[in-house]
Amino acid sequence: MGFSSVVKKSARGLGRVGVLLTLACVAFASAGITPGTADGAGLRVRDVEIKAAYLYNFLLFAEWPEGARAGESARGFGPYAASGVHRVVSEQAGSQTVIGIVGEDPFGDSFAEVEGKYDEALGSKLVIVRFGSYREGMTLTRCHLLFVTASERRNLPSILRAVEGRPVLTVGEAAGFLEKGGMINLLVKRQKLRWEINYAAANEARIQLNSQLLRNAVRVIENGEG
Amino acid sequence: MNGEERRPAGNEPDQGFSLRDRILGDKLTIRRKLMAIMLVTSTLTVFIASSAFIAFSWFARRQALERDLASLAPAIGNTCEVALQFGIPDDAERILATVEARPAIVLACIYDADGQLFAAHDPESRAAIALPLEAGPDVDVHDHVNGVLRLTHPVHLKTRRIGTVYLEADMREIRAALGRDSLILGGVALLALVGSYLLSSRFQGLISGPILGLAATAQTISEVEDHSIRAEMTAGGEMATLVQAFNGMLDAIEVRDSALVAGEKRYQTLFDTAEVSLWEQDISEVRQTMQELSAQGVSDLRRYLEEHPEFVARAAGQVRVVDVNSATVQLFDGASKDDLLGSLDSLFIPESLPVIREKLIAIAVGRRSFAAEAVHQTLTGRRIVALLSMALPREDETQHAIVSMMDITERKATEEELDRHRNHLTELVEKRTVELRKMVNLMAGREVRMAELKEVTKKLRAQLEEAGMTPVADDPLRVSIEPS
Repeated sequence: MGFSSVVKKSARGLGRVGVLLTLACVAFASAGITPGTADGAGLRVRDVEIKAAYLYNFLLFAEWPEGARAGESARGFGPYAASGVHRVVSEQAGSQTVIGIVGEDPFGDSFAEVEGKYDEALGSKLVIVRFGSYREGMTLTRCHLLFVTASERRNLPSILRAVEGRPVLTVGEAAGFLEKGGMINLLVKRQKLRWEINYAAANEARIQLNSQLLRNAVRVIENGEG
Repeated sequence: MNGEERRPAGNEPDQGFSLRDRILGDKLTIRRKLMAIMLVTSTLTVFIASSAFIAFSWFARRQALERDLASLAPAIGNTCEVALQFGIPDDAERILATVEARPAIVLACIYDADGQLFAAHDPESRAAIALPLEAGPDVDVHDHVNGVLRLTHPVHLKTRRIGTVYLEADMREIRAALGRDSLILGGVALLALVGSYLLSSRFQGLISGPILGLAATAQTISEVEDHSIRAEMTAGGEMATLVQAFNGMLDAIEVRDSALVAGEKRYQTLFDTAEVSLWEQDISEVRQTMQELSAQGVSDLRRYLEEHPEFVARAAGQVRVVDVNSATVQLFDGASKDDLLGSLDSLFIPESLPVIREKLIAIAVGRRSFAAEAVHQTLTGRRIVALLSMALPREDETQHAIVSMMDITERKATEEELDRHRNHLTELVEKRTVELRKMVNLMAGREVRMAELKEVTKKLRAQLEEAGMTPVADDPLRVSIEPS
């Protein structure tokens, strides 16, 4: 049973993609996750779908600086405009929110149901960009959220350096991700998928994380200290 | 009609002992009435104020509880967004546990978007698996069931509903608070009533003192019948006005009393010294007898009285002579007034009955005056005829009638003598008239016979002339036979 089909079943025909994803997220997160999958390897299909829902939820509880995506919505992955603070999830019709995946894509067709479609909660179209394995010169800064899979452990410093100081919410699933400058790291604790946060890194990138995310984090690194 | 009879029906004392009777009736002194009025008023005021306060407190506390829940629910919902989105019930339960600071809240739950229980703070184990009260799409819903306030608040993330906060609060705390308020109010009310009693017992004298002074003065005046006594001015304001009015009334009474005494004296002098016979008669008993007779359905009084002379005699005997003057004593051959006071029975003779009947009718129909020629006998049995004039009182006046009698016995005798002479003359005239009429008739007969004789003569003359005889002119029976 794939993410999309599970989403369909859980949503009971509510019809809107965002809603489906969120409801699915709650359902699966509450049900728990397969133990022993902290590194992402050997994840069952259901666990992958939960992880995909988490990425989506992070978009809902983070705020990007204003202007970081100005002018982007109409042109897709255009250059960032001047700095300023605004909510990246623009209310403008036709805007888009981008989730980038670097490394081996573990999600399969988990995003198939929502990808490329307008999401009411985000107020924009949700775009999934699969970069594949990292290569030098890759433009990662166009993403709102960049998920670095466990397979990119070796390239992690380069990837983080590529988006350093830019308003890109970096999410990883490898041990030491936060220490290397990542912002949110997913991990399994007590058979449930949880997260830890490098608040200083997010702050440096001018990304504001909801206090509830911080409160529920397994660990929060403030001022560069874990 | 005495004072008791004039008392309105509503003020008649009854056997009940209602509060109104106790306060306003005759059982309490004015001091106690004033204190009772003040205490009852104070008690009622305190009771109404306390009741209003308790009622207001109840509604205010209930509304405050509703407001508290209505403000708490969104705060819980906003704080649980991540818990709901990421499926972390532990976090939601930690947040819900903060309601422990509010003892009134007995249940706090979060239900997920499907209406299934997600997290709860449930010390009394009363949480339902499914959402018991559906929230509106965007607004809170609350109700009261069995003394429990229930409220649901939809939790939205952006425009999407992700769950529901459900709170239950009972009224135990409010009831306990109201109980405490009631005790405090009761204590305050008791203190207020004690204070009211002490103050009223002291201040009632401001009103009752002058009134009691007035009452004592009035009592003294009534007992000694001295209208020169005046009430003392012991207070100001309305009480001073009351005392002034009372004294002014006494002044007026004194003046009128003097005028009354003078009038009474003048009346008595006139009454006693009048040349005409004057009587003061009490007709209350006979008036009542006549009213009873009317009440029995007797409509033709005159006929009834004519047919029942014994009733007339009995009714006449009910007229009581209260006073007579010296002219009356003299007229009726008495030695003193006492001979004539009391009943009139001894003065009546059968000839008196017609006038007595008319007098009774006059009393019965409510006439104000009556006059007639009455025939009485004096105490010595002498028959007298008097011109009686009677002034009758109204039913609502003192039932004393003033009667005057003018002796016309001699005048009546003279009139009767004159009548006799007149009758004799009339008889003589009538006799002479008859005789005269006879003479006239006789004369008339002669003329008729003369006319008949002339006619016969005329006829004879005619026969003689036919026979050729010419009667002598002067004597129709003489004829001259002329040779033919």
